[in-house]
This record gives sequence, structure tokens and C-alpha cells, in this order.
Amino acid sequence: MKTLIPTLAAMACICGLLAEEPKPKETRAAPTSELFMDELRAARDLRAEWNTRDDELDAARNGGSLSDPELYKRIRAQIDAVLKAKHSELEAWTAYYQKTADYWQSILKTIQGSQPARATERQDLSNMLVTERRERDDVRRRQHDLLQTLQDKGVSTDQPAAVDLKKLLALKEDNIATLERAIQEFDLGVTHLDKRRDLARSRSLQARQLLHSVDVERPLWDAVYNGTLHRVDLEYDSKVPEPEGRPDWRNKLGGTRGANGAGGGAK
Amino acid sequence: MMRLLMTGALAAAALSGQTKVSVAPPRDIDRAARKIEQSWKAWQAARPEQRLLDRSAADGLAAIEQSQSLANRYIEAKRAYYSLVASSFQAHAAALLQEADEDPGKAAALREQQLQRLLEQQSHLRGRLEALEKTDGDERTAAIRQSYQGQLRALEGIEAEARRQMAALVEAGKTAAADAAERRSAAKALANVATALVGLTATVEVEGEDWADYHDQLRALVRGYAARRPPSAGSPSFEDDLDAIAPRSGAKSAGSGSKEKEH
Repeated sequence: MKTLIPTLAAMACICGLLAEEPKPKETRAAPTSELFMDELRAARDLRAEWNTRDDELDAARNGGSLSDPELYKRIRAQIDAVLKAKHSELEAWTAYYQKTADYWQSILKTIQGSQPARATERQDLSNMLVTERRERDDVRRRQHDLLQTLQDKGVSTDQPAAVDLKKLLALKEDNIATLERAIQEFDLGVTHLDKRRDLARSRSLQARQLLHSVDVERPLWDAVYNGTLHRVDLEYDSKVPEPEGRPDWRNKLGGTRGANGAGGGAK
Repeated sequence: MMRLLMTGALAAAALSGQTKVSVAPPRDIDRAARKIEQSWKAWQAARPEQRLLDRSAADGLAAIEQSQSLANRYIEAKRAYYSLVASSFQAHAAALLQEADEDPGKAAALREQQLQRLLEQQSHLRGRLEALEKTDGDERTAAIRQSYQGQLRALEGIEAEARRQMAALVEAGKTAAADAAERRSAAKALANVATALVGLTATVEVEGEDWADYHDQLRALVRGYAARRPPSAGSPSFEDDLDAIAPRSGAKSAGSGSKEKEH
């Protein structure tokens, strides 16, 4: 996550950002149009295809009697095709949800994985602050030593060297204030990154729920078209098998009698 | 590994307020941090201001020279260190800015269209089922009715899933938008840090010039004081001091000059 030596492109980008710093509104927003658009376009196109096939099936079914075996076969084939189209659409949705789930999982991992790097960055800033503070203390010590030397020798303390030290002391104070503000800003940035981590976790979970939902949807579509198929079968085969009547003992007996007549006679 | 070894050695220094580094693979920044520590310690050993005017001009000027040389080395190490840290933050901010945002809103719109279609299908099937219920029911009609009812149940299940997905996608849109806002804010905060550090790195150059001016002023002070100071018995003159540091062409050595004066 953390690149020590940034690429030229990254440097160019940030230089652009820094140049635009006084105008916060111009902070470049990331492109949003390309993320998973291929998957979404595929889902849209396959849904349109399913729509067309489903409309065609309705039109064919409304045509009339199903007594024609060719029509019956054609409609069965159409039902298969519509169901296949629906399966393809559902696969496209699965691909889309899977990509988003993977994307957010990777964002989550990246944010979690960069936590040690953030601690190191914070440490770098603290080190700089320590550096500036100890330099300030050193300038003060130098100031004290110089003034002591001048006083001991009865030389005016209003020497250019003393003025230079005052300038350096003011610079150190400015630098310390700048670094303190930078650390505050960094902590603010980390707060935003922590919120991102929570949001990425939430979004990853949402994507997985959507994946599950598509899994639930698939057998339901199968049921819808199996129902249509069943009805087509029923309409084509107008002879519904009648339930078997109650067994008549007389018939049974008569049959038995007839069959066993020779045997009986023999007795 | 190197950084791990350093940690123990620097622990005491860290406690005393010096810079510290944590356990992590060595980085250019860590190497720069070590250099800054070394050059800082070396510079601290040189303290020309202390009793500056008690010394001979030559000693004073030599001490100033040494201090300036060590200051230059320290400033260079510091510039390298600050520059690396600033670059690191710039890279982090740039990487954040380059990330893309997701927009599940389009998916939700597609699902909305699908839901409309589902509702139409259900309405169509209900119409047929109602028509069928008005007719006399033989077994075949009952089987067809059952088929319609089964389909309707399945479509209701699909509708429930479609609504669930739409709600989840709308929620996902909010989450993605919130994430985009947080990402931009984080990038802006880190870019601000980087800007501050770039500014600080620039002040290191200024600081180097200020220290050079300061050392020049110290030299001027020593020279001015030596010029006003009456030479005490046995002590070398200011000119002799200067000759000891930088002999004049054609001049005799400081030592021989002193001897001649004694004669």
C-alpha cells in the first residue's frame, strides 16, 4: 500500500493536486463509470434478451390450440430457450455481485493491511516533530551560550549572530506548529480511513447477500417455467388419464370362475 | 531485520526524546533517519558558542568552521529524510485519489425494471387463474389451476428477492457514496500532510542558509573581538591567529613570527 518511492505518474498526480490545493472543489474525483460496467451491461443485455424470448413465448402460446405436434415441440423448445436466457441473465448478475464482493473484500484487506504502515507514517511524523523540538532546544542552548559569552566579555548582546539565532528559533517554532497541524491532519485522515474500513466491510457483506439472493432466485425461475411446461403438456395431451375405478368383486369372481372352470369340473 | 536490531539500540534514545523507529522492514526513510541521528550527534559535539571569546581567534574560528561543516552535513541528512517522508505521503495520497468509486445505482435501476416485468407477469397469470376458476373443474382444469398457483407462488418469491436486492442495492449506493466521501476526505487530509511536509522540506534549505549566515556572523564576531582585544603577553596576535589558519603568501609561519617578536 505504501510506496516509498512513488511512481512518476503518482507524483505528477499529486503535484497537480498540490497545485490545486487552494481550490478544494477541484480535488479530482475518481472515475466511477468504469467500475463493473461490463458486468452490468452484460446483465442488462441478457435481461433484454430474456424479455424478448419471454414475449415471443407468450405470443406463441396465445396462438391457439396445441394439437399440432410441431407447434407443441416448438413451444417446448421456446420454453427451454427462455429459461436458458434467464439462467444466463442470472449468471451475469452473479458475476456482477461476485466482482463487487471481491472488490470490497480487497479494499477491506488493503485498509486492514495498511494499518501497520499508518502506524509507521505516524511515527515518521512524530520523529520529525521530535527533530524540530530538539533543534529548537539546541538553538535556545546556543543562544544562552552565546549571550553568556558576550556578557562575560562585556560585548553587546545585540550581535548579528544573536539575531540569526532568533530567526532560527522563530523558524523552529513555525516548523513545530506546522508539524503539530500535520499530525492532527494525519489523524483526521486515519479516522476517514477507519470509517472506510467499516464501510468496506458493510459493502462486502451486502454484496454477499445479493449473491445469495440470486441463488435463491434461480430455482424459483425454474419453477415458473416448469409450470408453463407442465401446462403445455396438459394442453397437448388432452386425455388426462382417468383414475382407476373401484375393483368389482363380481368381475373378479366371474373372471376367476371362468378361469378356474375346468379345474372346478375336475374336482 | 536491521530495523529490529536498531529498535533495541534506539530504545533508550527514544525514551530520551530522540527519534525512534518501529519494527518493520528497513526503508529508505529508516536509513535516512539513522543518518540524521548520526549527523545530529556529531554536530552536538561541536559547541563553538561556549567560551568563544575566551579562546584564541584561531581556535574560535576552527571551532566555528567545524560547527558549520557538521551543520551542513546534518542539514543535508535532514533534507533527505524530510524529502523521503514527504514523498511517501504524496504517494499514499495519490494512491487514494486514483481509486475508483462504485455506483450500484445503475444496478438498482435495472432491478427496478425487472420488478415491473415481474408484476406484469403476476397480473397476467392471476387474470388467467381467475378465468379458469369460473369454469367447471375437471381434473385437468384442476391440474392447470395448480400449475398457475405454483407459478404465482414462484413469481411472488422472485418478487420478494427482487425487492430485497433493490433495497440492498439502494443501501449499497449509500454505502459506496459514503465510502467515496471518506476516501476523498482521507486523500485530502494526507495531501495536506504531504503539502505541509513539502513546505517543511523547503524550509530546510532556508535553514541551511540561516545556519551559514549565523556561522559567518560568529566568525565576524571573533574577528572583530580579536581586533579590539589588546594582545596579552605571550598570546599570539590576531594576525598570527589568522596566519595559523590560512598562511599569507610570502609570510613567515606564525611560530617564527612570534619568535621574531620576542627578539
